[in-house]
Amino acid sequence: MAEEIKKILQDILTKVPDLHCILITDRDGVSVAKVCTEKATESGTRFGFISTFGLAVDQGSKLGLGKTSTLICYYSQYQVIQMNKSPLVLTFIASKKCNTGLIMALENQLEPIISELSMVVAET
Amino acid sequence: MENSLDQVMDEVLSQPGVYGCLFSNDHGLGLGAKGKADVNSAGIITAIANLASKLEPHNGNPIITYENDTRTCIIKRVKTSQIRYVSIYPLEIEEVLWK
Repeated sequence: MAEEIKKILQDILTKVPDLHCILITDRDGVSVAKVCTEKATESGTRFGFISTFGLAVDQGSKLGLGKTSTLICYYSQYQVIQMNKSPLVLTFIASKKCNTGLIMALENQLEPIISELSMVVAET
Repeated sequence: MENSLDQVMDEVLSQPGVYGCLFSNDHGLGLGAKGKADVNSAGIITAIANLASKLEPHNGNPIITYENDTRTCIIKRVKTSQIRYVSIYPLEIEEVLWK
């Protein structure tokens, strides 16, 4: 199953221009599936960076706008899009000029993979 | 801010034969959609406009037209800002919308 998922993610990665990395992790930042190009920033894929999303989600829920679903961060060179797929976190690392809307549209495409992995994570 | 965009969208939709319109920014994020247009398509539409503009790098604002038997979908990047929009309408009213 892992190989199949990796192949699907790799296909998506090549189809979206300037997308460098797709990561599926748990809430603590432990990697479940990961595909990256050589352009991906190493610090962005680190355990500590990804797990910060969990904290941001908790803070975001205090705004009174409901559960945080997506977090988009623009940096000087990169953009990081993280989606809350509890118990998993879906992370995209792309260059700043990458089409954010196109990455957001991947959410539906990745839904079957996420639900399959969520069941596995929930069982363990 | 949204009010003026809403007004423009209403104006576009009031044209005969227009079924929907969608605005997105340069990052492919949907700014607004009305009628038979889905704001979730904003990313794909922006990607199409970007790809088409690479065909002629000196002319950065191409108009892309998709036609089928009953409808036409036009994608246009507006020069003055980084906003694009797509409308689904017959070609005859194109002049009205580009004013």
